[in-house]
Amino acid sequence: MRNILVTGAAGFIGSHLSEGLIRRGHQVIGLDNLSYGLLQNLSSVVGDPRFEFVHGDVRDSGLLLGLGSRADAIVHLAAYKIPRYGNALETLDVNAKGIENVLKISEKVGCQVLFASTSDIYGKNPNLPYGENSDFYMGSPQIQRWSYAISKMLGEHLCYLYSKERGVRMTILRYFGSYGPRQNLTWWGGPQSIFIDCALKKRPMPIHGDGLQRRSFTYIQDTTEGTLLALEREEAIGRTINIGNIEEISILELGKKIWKFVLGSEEPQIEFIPYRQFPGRYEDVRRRVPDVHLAKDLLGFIPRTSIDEGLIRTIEWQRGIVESLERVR
Amino acid sequence: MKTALITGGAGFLGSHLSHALIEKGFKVISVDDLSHGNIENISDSLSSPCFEFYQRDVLDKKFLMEISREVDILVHFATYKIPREGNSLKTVEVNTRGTENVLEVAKERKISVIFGSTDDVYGKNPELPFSEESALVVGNSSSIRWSDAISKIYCEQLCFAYQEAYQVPINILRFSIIYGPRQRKDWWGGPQGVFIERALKREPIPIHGDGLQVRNFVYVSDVVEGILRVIEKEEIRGEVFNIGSPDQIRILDLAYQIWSLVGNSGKPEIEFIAYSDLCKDYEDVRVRDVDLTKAKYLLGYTPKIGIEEGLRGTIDWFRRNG
Repeated sequence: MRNILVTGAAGFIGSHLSEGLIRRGHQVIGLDNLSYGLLQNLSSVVGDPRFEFVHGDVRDSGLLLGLGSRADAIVHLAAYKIPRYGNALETLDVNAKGIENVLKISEKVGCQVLFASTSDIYGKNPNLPYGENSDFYMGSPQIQRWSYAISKMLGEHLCYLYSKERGVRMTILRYFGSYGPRQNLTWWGGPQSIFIDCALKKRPMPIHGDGLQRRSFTYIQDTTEGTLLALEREEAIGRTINIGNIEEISILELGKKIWKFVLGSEEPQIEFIPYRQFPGRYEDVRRRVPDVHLAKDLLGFIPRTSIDEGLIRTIEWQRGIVESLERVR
Repeated sequence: MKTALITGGAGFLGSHLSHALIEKGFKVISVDDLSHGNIENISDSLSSPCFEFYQRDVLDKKFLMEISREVDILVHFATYKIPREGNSLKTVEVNTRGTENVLEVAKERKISVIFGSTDDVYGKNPELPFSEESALVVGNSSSIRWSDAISKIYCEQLCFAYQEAYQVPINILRFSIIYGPRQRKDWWGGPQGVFIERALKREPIPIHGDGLQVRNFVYVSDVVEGILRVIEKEEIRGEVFNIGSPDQIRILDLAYQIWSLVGNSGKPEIEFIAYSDLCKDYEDVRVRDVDLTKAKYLLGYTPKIGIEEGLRGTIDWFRRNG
């Protein structure tokens, strides 16, 4: 049994991870400022003696020190994500200061750090698939879209520097598009979240650009499994590991698939939104596929859930949410 | 009279800019902690009534806020550059925190910021030359070789985030390797400083890697001219500019050229230093060349001093300040 501090615990990944940790017999302190996380995500663990929820900000160093001193490891998931609609400054600030704070405290108290990074860090790199040593291709600073990836790039670099210069034991995980129950219901949660919502309401699904951009999506149970393994294996210390599914799908295919799972043979309704309609400038990434050999070799991690299976489970969950919201209305 | 605040004001570039701004009728407030800057660099400005110098750290936000009451433009040059094993965290901290402080001051005082960045942000991008729109390509985040570039890329984003959120007018200047009188004589100042020092003593010249890497060198007076144009032209706020020169040179050839310009005969002995001796996982950039079209059209920036003339001026200064 270990004591694990999870930042961003009330978020999508954080809540699943908290459950997984408790199932494996660990003690969990879940920190979240509830800016994007929801307390209801934690309903299955709140009240469990092995779980403690703390409402607070990851940038609050006094608070974090108190919690960190009771932890064997900090899993740092708290982050801002989509600067597409403004908020570039918050994204940079929360993400950079959050990890810096976590690292400073882990240096002080000697606990391990697991930092959640992102596939977005590979940016526009045209050379696929992305191995952990692939280069990061960022765009112009005048395009806000890059502030998320850049904040994570700085975060990763800080992890390495604290590891080299201060002896912090850390692991970096680069997640590739997680989805599943409790995903955020806005664009923050990814396109599948919006598409399911539209299909359930029989509204046109908005697709950015031509929809031919391809992504690999990872079911939350797999993301959680990879994270738990990384936390438990000594071999993961000092390493950066891609956690993702190699199954690729275009955004357009994803939309059609979701529509079919929800509405059967009915003709899908799609609304294409050109990037130029986004505020400011935007740059999309055409394809994004991880090389997952390291996760397999180091952690024995293989994602198990196919996109069809994962989507069906996610749709079931989201249907429940939409129906209960309608009942409230 | 307009007032400019320059951080890193006693550094190589900061001192030249201070001098030029005073000549143009500006009042200059210069801040430098003298960790790498040098008080002798500003000896000519210190006697001017239009010049104030403070030996302070750019991490001291309260102080920056206090002295910026009358400031019209903030030029942010204070930076750490070359991380070696052991001080990379300091590099990242000074660069990110320093820039954040400057932006906070600019937000409060409602003034524009000119941020001194580097063409190293283009990193390993294989497509040459680099225009301001080129991708910023960084190698493995585990290597301290990227500490400077990563922190500068972050700072550039932060600058525009402040512009977006608080309407702080921003200009980012990505400098090539700047050389000239008052430049540092160690690696911090670029290879040319070390080469001149060694050549003057007729000692072997140390070269990192094979010496076949190509770099862009720009003489300090040209850079200062570029910055003055940016300061004067209000209409170009919000733009990023490459400030370099057409002078591309192989590092090995630079060593040979310096060797003969100081008057030595024959060829220098070269002491090749493996990258692995610099830092673990060092990744070199083979060719770095910048596209100056934007600076030319929007600023009228045309570098005037060629590499030979510039090196002669620099060598003279090294001789006089040996």
